[in-house]
Amino acid sequence: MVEYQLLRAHSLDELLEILDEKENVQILAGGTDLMVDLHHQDDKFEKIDYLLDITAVNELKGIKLGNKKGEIGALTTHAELVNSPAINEKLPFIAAAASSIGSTQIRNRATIGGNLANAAACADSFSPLIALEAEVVLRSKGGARKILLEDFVEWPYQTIIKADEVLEKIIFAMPEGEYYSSYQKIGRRKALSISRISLTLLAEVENGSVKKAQVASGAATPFPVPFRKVNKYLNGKNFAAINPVEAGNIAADEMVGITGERWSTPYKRPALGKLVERAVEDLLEEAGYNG
Amino acid sequence: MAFKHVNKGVKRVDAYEKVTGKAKFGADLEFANMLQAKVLRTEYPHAKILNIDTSEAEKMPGVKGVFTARDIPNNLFGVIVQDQQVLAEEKVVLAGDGVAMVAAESEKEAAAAIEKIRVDYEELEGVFDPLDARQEGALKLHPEKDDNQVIHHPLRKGDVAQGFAEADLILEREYTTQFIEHSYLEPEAVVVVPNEENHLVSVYGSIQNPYATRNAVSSVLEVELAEVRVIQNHIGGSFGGKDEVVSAMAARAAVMALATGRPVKMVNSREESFTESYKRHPYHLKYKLGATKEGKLTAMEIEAVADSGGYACQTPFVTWRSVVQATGPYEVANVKTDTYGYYTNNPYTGAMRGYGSPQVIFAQESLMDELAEELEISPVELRKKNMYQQGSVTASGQKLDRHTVSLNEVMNKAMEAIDYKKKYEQYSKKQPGDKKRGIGLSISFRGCSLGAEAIDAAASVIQINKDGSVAVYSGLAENGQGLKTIFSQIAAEILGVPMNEVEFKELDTSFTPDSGSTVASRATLIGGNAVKDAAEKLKQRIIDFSADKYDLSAEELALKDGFLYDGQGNRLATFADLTGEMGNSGILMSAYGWYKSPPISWDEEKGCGNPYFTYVYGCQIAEVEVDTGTGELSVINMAAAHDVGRAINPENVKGQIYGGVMMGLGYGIMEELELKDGVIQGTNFHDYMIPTIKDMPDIKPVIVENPDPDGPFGAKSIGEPTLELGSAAIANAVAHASGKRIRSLPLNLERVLIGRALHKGGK
Amino acid sequence: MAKLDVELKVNGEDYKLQVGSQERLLDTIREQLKLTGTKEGCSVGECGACTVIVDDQAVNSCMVLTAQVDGSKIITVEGLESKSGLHPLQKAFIEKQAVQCGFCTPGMLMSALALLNTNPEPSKEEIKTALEGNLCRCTGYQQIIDAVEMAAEEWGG
Ligand SMILES: Cc1cc2nc3c(=O)[nH]c(=O)nc-3n(C[C@H](O)[C@H](O)[C@H](O)COP(=O)(O)OP(=O)(O)OC[C@H]3O[C@@H](n4cnc5c(N)ncnc54)[C@H](O)[C@@H]3O)c2cc1C
Ligand code: FES
Ligand code: FES
Repeated sequence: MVEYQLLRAHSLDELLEILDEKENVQILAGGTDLMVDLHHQDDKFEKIDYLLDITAVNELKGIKLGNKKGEIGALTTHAELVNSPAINEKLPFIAAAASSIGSTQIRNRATIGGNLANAAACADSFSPLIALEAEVVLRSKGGARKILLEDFVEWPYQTIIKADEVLEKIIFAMPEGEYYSSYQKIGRRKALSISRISLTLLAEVENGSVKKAQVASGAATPFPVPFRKVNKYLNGKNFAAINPVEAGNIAADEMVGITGERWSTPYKRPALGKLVERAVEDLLEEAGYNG
Repeated sequence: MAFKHVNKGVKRVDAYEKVTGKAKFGADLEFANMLQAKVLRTEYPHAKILNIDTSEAEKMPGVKGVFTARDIPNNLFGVIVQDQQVLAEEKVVLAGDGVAMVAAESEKEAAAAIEKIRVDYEELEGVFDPLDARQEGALKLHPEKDDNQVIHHPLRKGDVAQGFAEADLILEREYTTQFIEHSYLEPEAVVVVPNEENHLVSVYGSIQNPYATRNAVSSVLEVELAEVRVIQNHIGGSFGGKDEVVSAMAARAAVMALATGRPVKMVNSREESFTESYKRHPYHLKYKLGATKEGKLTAMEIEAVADSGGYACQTPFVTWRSVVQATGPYEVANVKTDTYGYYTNNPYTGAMRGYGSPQVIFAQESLMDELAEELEISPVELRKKNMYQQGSVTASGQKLDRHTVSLNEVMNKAMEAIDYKKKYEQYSKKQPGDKKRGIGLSISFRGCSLGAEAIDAAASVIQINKDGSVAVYSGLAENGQGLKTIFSQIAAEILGVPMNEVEFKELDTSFTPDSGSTVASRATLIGGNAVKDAAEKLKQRIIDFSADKYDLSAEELALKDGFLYDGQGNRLATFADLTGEMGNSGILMSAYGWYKSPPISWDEEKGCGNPYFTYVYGCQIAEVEVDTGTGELSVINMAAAHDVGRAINPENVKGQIYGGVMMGLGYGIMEELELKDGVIQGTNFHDYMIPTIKDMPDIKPVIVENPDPDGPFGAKSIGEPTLELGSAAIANAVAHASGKRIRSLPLNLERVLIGRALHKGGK
Repeated sequence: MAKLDVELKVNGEDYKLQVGSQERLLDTIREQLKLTGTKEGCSVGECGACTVIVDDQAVNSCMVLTAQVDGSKIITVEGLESKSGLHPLQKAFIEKQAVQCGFCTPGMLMSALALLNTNPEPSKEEIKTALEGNLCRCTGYQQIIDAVEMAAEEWGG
């Protein structure tokens, strides 16, 4: 039988104090992952004495996008991302990813911090943020540390967060100059659908060539990683020299290089290749290359 | 004929309660002093039970009783074959079989106690594929039976050998369909109250078929039917699903209610519902089809093998409908069909909207398109060459001449609604890019009501109160389909009263006569006729009384809008005054209505006869877009034309069409219950996906009306035909778009992209 | 485990309640307040039958612990009908035959209400997005969309 005491923090200080003081505390944000575990009486509750609700901690909320830097508070809900004019204007791929998550009701509660901290392989917030080379700020009573998001997850459902830490916010440098982005997600149905595979491409372009490209995928690998070989293929390349099909093949090979041949590979290999191919085609088209 | 209430989109009589949250469903019911109960279900698909130790559970707080099969007076029940265990006794035959149960003061306490029950099993090897189960020497699941065969239905017509000899082309194809879940939104719930109002037990809850549940409970308790009362009111969807599984639940709760002397409530979680409920039968289908160059069918040989799971449940009847309809609505001189059901250690399978038709239609309508392609004739032309016309003779030898055979009409109307011809031509050309469109159609004939499965009769009671208000009772049940409204319309129409004077009352088996089950799309046809019969009897009484009173001939009198009129259109009296006066003069103002279907016949050995007294015809067309790069499939448009005889309530018929089309779409492209060695992988809606509002195509419902001589006001059926056609239409559209034929359901991402399904852990 | 004190305003009425650490908003509404119009269909956020409005937003009440929404304003299906009669959404659901078994209906109404409260003139696509978290196995959704469109017209106009 699951038993725990529910606590509520009303400020960041109070939250950090509780994390510092008590043992076996599990943070509760929007609850859309944790409440499912609770319903299933998941084993993880054996190690939980306190559930700490942080939804009233205002310091963890909010979106700030400057010219150079941006940050998103961990408690920001997916609905807030979808509705944010700044996100839609400057980082539309984040809005696209957020809008593909769950349903309206889920997005109204579910937080970006919870999505990252839960660290499911199919979590949709990773690929856009990895493409941004985002960092997460983990704060404890003793101070804060910054970790590159791609180093945050050790294994599916396992992050490097320490027991006395909270994921405070996500920070990143804003893309520079002229940039293009896309987000694609394949699911088994058109709403309320976890990713079979998803893809973000973010590319800064200059003088008819790709200055810097970031390709990242969700659900393709056990935990999200940047696709370095595709990035390398695209970086610095003149539009005319880019072959979208080739980019797709590189990505597909890179994925299988990481995962090995799995039961789902016969599907995921061609599907991922196709998503990358399309993202690159779109990029070229939008960037005005019509060769 | 001009109608006042019938044939109109009258508002649902139960809608007010439902939009205000006042409607009480099973889980909402509370009784004083009520206990809550939970069931321990096995995880093993096949195992011997060595020992059950309940001692720890009995000591748990709040526990009022722990029960096993030994506490059940008669542990076996079943509508057709009595082989289903209320609680497993010596052996579990499927993962999900109940082995013990606890009644406690609260649901939490019952759940906690369940965890303390220790069961020792000896695991047995299992059989998980009906094709294995039918092998000679296969492990027998029910030791008392000769083998694993639940049923075999043969059908023979002409000489297939000769038919194939006449053919210019012979196609042999195999198709498979999957297990699917009814996915009614309300998980099962019952409450059993002991010793209430002179009944041993009263059963409330989400019960599709109150009389079947009453039969089960009385047989399990070994008491008379009259001692068991089943009351049914609101049910959160059923689609064939809340029959045996709810009967088992009611029987269990009844045993506990009697043992503890207190009301016992059982509510399934969604996971429990998935684990325990029966499913739609998966089929392996082998078709062999012969045709001439011109496209005339010469012979069909069909073998359909259904997985019955651990119990027989409704397999004998489900596969019977398949045998009758397996050739589709086509004239074929030589037919050999065999349908089979086999026991396996998979979840058991039973009634689900469609009932053995969606599987064969998927195969046979896919095959027609495959044949059309081989012969290079259009799918429409091939169908028109072979399909039933007025007076055609079916595979079982029945001449279709009692009703209008409207295949041509439904097909033409559906084609028109979706602009089929233009789209077919357009999409038949080469399409650039990865995203390809296609359009595909399917047609069917469907026997209405039970057919030769069982006696087909139903009853109703109508009571006119002294203030002129009318109470209607029926032995058939509202399952969400709108029966209360339809029956109220029929009563209002005959009695000439406004709809608001008619009250449909909840079903109570102690009061309304046994009318069989609310299944087989028979409610409007059979039950509607029974309501009409009762109303007509009362009307006759009123007219006779009035003729006497006003000294007019009966022909001159009419009941309309709550008044009695004479031949000149003068109001003579209000309905209320008139019927009040009749009541006060000692005239019986209640009537029983009864309707028994016209004669039908079936020779089980030869597989011939007139299995159903009438049929409905339908055509659905799907327009899809296939992403050949990712396997994503969008159903963009669908047209659904159905001949319903007469639409008693056209808005309701549309609701049935929209709902059925979406259910068929789910069956066609996304739904699949994944099993691993008989164990369901994922028992909630995040693993088992049903269509959301975003998956909805633009649906064009087309109601076709050819009144049936036997239907009430000409009405026939609509519930099931709506979902049997979609998967075949979609599969045909996908093949049209992509050039790839998929012969297994569902048409998910993997099948569309790489032509086969993938399963976790290999394959 | 110690109970927690919470204050809620449900359908306009103030409640002071004690709730358990595992008590979901759905449990409080159904079991403590006896408002059984809100339904439980899956318990894992997938079906939307438990949808209520918490501070103007549609929320799955099975996904929230009651203590998390201490101080909130909550609307359930029982809060729709007023002294002046049925809410335009309720009327439209009846008018358009958007109800079959009715089990999804309370949740549908709540999602639709949350939508119309913030967006009185929604497009068809916006209606679908607002209702994408509400499964219905009976109606095929079309008449539900018709009803929301009708309510938007009557109410907004
Ligand atoms: C019906 C349904 C559909 C869904 N669909 C999708 C989908 O399409 N795509 C997708 O990616 N996800 C989906 N999810 C999963 C879920 O909604 C997301 O992962 C969500 O973002 C989790 O956020 P939360 O605030 O609800 O997390 P919670 O459940 O509150 O927490 C999740 C985990 O993160 C930890 N945590 C939360 N916040 C912090 C913090 N600030 N610091 C440290 N640890 C923290 C918690 O301790 C817990 O371990 C779905 C869930 C449901 C129920
Ligand atoms: S019960 Fe809450 S979403 Fe299904
Ligand atoms: S009306 Fe039955 S689930 Fe929607």
